[in-house]
Amino acid sequence: MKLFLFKNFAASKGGAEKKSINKGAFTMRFPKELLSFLLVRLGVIIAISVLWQGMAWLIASPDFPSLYAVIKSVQFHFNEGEMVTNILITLRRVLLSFVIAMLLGGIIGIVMGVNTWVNKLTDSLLIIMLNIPALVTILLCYIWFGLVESAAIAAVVINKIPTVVVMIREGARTVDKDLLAVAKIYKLSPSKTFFAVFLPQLYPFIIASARSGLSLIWKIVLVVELLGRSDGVGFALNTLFQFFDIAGILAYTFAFVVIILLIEALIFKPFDKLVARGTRFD
Amino acid sequence: MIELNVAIKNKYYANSEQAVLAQLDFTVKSGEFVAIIGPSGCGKSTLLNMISGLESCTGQHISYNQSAYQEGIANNKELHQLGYIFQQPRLMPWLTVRENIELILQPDQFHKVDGLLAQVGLANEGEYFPSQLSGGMQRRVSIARAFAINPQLLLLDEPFNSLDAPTAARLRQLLIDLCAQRGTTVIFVTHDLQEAVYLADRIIFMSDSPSTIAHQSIVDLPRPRKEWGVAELEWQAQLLLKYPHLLAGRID
Repeated sequence: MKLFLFKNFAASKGGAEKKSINKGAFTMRFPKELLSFLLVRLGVIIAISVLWQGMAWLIASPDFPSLYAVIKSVQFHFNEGEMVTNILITLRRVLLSFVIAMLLGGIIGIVMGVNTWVNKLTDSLLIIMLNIPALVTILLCYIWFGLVESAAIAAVVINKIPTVVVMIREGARTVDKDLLAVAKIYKLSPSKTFFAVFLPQLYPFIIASARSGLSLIWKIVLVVELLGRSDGVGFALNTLFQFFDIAGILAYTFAFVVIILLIEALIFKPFDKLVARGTRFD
Repeated sequence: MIELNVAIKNKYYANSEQAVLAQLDFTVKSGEFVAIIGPSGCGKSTLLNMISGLESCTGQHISYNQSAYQEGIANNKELHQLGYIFQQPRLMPWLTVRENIELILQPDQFHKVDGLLAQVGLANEGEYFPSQLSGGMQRRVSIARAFAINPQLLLLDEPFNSLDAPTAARLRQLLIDLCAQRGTTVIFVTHDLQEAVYLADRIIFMSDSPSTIAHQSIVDLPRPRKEWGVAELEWQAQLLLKYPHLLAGRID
């Protein structure tokens, strides 16, 4: 037993040494590692494409279009022009409801996180709102406000606000009171205290709710469009569904996912870097 | 210049029946360096928080220059120059060293930052983030921050705790120099008698909680003093010979 323990210890020690050597070499090899990482990603995408194409070829059913057919369909809808219009309309709805939901949810979340009295008062309402199905909110909005654009936006916003509130409230609760005391001692103005001391502590929570928010919102927007709008990606998908144009449905999905990925890379990644200020050093 | 009168009666912790401060009455003269020593948990930090206005109680009467105020110095618009160096540096982690100091200044004062950083030996560290600095460097930033507003009253809460001896010694010297330059009134909380003797004009010893003032001593040693000077050590020995339990807050 003793020998075994000793051996184990020696092994773990050797392992640790090895690890530290690897770590040292990592920085030197970094471009190569990055290249191989990208190659692996590309490989996976190619593999999935080949698999898809192969399966479609084997099954040979109109219900399972090949990758080639989907790409052809993207090209077709793109050239028709209606795809670009629909995507732009949907994107507009997504961004509008995203901004409204983040602003309102952020304000409500901060108030609830800071003020225990308000929190007690509204906590059960929040839980109810969180658990009302998205579909119910959408139907009620259309019934009460009519089949209009503002009803569509309102439905999405009402669906999203509770989840934003939950995350921001958690952030506002964990705000460092010691740092707020510094602001008080050195007599910072209320706006400076809020924007330079309070809000930066919430950035990670805001980023997290924005990330999860975008993916949730664009899914809800499609449902809203399907139920009560005569344009947008949701409406287009409904039309394609009625014609059983599966390649078309996949083409739209494809195009929209690419756009969301672009938003992620172009907007969230740089913002992420800004938020990580002073916390991550490699 | 600021002179401070402190009278506190029956301060309780939030949600507690136990008083932390029973009765404290003392005056701090303008430009005086007062050290407060007491056993841990006797409410030293609470006392500083009350003087600064971060905490309060109904039985308090704290006034400066004879003018009474209820809400504490931090809420007093006229008295702008309060510096508070906390036990932890309390820097904003998302701001650079320079931005941390600029945060509490008006834009027309930004030119002072370079000089301040040079004074605390961080002339080249202005663009670093706090997490890139050592603990001692972070404390120096918090000292520079406190001096940036040219404080008339400076509160320090065991600021040199858990620093290595040479760094702590250097920072103590820096504190003495900066205070002497500006004639700052200082209240310095510590549990280290040697540090208090090295720095202070007067030492107030607090009893255990619920605390009162157990004893006061004027440190009548000439300056500049030495941390390990014979006269300084002898002074401590004589005091402790007379009151062996003084550091525990008892004078029996």
